[in-house]
Amino acid sequence: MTDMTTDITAARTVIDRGTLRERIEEPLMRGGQIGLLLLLALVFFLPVLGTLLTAVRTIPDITQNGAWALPSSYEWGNLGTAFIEMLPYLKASVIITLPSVAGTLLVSMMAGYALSRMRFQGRIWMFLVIVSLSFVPIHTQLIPVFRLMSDLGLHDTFISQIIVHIMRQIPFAVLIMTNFFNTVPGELREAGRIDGASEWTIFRRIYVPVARPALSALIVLEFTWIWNDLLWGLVLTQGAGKKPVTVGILSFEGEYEIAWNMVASGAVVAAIPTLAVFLAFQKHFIRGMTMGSVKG
Amino acid sequence: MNARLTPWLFLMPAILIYGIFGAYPIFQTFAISLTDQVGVAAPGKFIGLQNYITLVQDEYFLNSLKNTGIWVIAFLIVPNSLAITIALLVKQTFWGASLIKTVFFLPLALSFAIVGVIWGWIYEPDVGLLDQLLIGLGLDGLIVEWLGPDAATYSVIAAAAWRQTAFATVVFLAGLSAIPTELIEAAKVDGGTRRQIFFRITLPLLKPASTIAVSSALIHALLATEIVLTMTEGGPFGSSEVVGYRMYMETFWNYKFGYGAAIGVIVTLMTATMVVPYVRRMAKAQERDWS
Repeated sequence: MTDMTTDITAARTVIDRGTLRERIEEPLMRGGQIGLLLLLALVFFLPVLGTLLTAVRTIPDITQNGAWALPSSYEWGNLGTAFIEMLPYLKASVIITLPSVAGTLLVSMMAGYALSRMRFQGRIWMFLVIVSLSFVPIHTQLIPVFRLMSDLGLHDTFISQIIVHIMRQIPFAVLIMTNFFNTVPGELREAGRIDGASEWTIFRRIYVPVARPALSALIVLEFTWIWNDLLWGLVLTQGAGKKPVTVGILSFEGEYEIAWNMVASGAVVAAIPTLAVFLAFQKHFIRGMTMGSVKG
Repeated sequence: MNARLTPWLFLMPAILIYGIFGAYPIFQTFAISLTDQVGVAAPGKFIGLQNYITLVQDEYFLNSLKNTGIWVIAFLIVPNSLAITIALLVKQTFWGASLIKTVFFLPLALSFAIVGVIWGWIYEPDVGLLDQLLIGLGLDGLIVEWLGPDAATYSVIAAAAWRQTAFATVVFLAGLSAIPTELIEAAKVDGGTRRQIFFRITLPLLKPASTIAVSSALIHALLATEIVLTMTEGGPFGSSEVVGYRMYMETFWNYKFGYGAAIGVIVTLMTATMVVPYVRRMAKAQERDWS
């Protein structure tokens, strides 16, 4: 009898402790986690916030009130001035990036289709070569490509930058397309074949349309990466006219030196295209990244 | 259309473009590294391994190699552990999670040129965002010359780690979503503590994600050229140079193409050894899919 009572009391204590844990410890823990997360997010966001704040202030305002004060007056004109000065670079970036993305997509869709859907000798081998190539550092290609472009008379042109970007993006894009086509049921192709369609027709009429989800992810990623490239833009160009905006922001920084409000404005203007694309298509961006997960 | 030829026709554009502008240059770089070529005008004379012999005695190069080592160690630890923490926290919090995610992912949209410009302003002595923040918090004692000879390498690493953390967070979040919740629930029912669940279940199941995050960190740490170029140009006095930046300098500033090519070869060999586990994993997955 006494034994039973002890057992019951013991059981009750366990239950009580359980509820105590649920009532106090869990919410505390959760609160702490949320607090920590918010703190991390704030620290993470500070560089962007600081840049945005600085971009719309005057230099006297910054020196008098410190870098973290709210603007005493909002100088939107800073951004306008930066935009006008960056315009040639922004134009060049558009001319370089759009054809590069289109070219990368076309070439890699075709290659990915072949690798995924056709059985042929050397298929695995070809695939592994392409995966490995996505890790080749730009450093082993810079010198000969620079020399080759000079020999071809293509130094300081848009076309040389476009070709090089397509070349650099092929391995990653082929990898993504191959993996995507792997998930498309093979019956689609068989059906097309029975109807007597050629391989090219099957590719163009059936596989390109189904590839839309992979393509949207790839477009967002490739746009960002190609737009953000710096080294090729530096190496393959001479005059201001052919330089992309990543090179432009550096000369802009050099020009304004300690006029930090203008430098920040320049950074904001240069970042807007990729930021806008990222914010609008974040889902595609992240999906593409987890599909291939090679670069950053 | 010949059935045996068809796959190669589809592969042709990719092979041609990569072959001419990507693959052939790789071999050329090896060849150029064995010459004393200066500039593009004339090919250099064959000097065997002389460039490599000079390199191992070159103080600037050895210093950049040391810094690259610091980059690799810091990049393996800092962004990845931060990202795991962030991913676990975001995964458990539902309130405002998507906005929070956007904040953490944002740096991925920024180029190294812009990251470099922004962080240059952050590190500016006295008036910069960091010094002002520390003064505001009463932590003036912590202030050092962020981009001075002693701290520059670490400061640049911090800027790059900001971006790398964003990437690793994406990868680890994807990895976490792939873990079935029933597994964690079952472990909880069986009385597993948080710590046990994390180390015995979550962490082992994050292995594929970790492979990706680690390979990416290694590659970015080994190359790290653009961010060094934009933030410090390797300075002051070469103190923040890394191997990739050294290659760029020797080639496009000093016009020592042969010497620069030799550094390029070394960078490539270092990268190659680092990505072997990743490529092997990809190969296994693909063979499974296709067999």
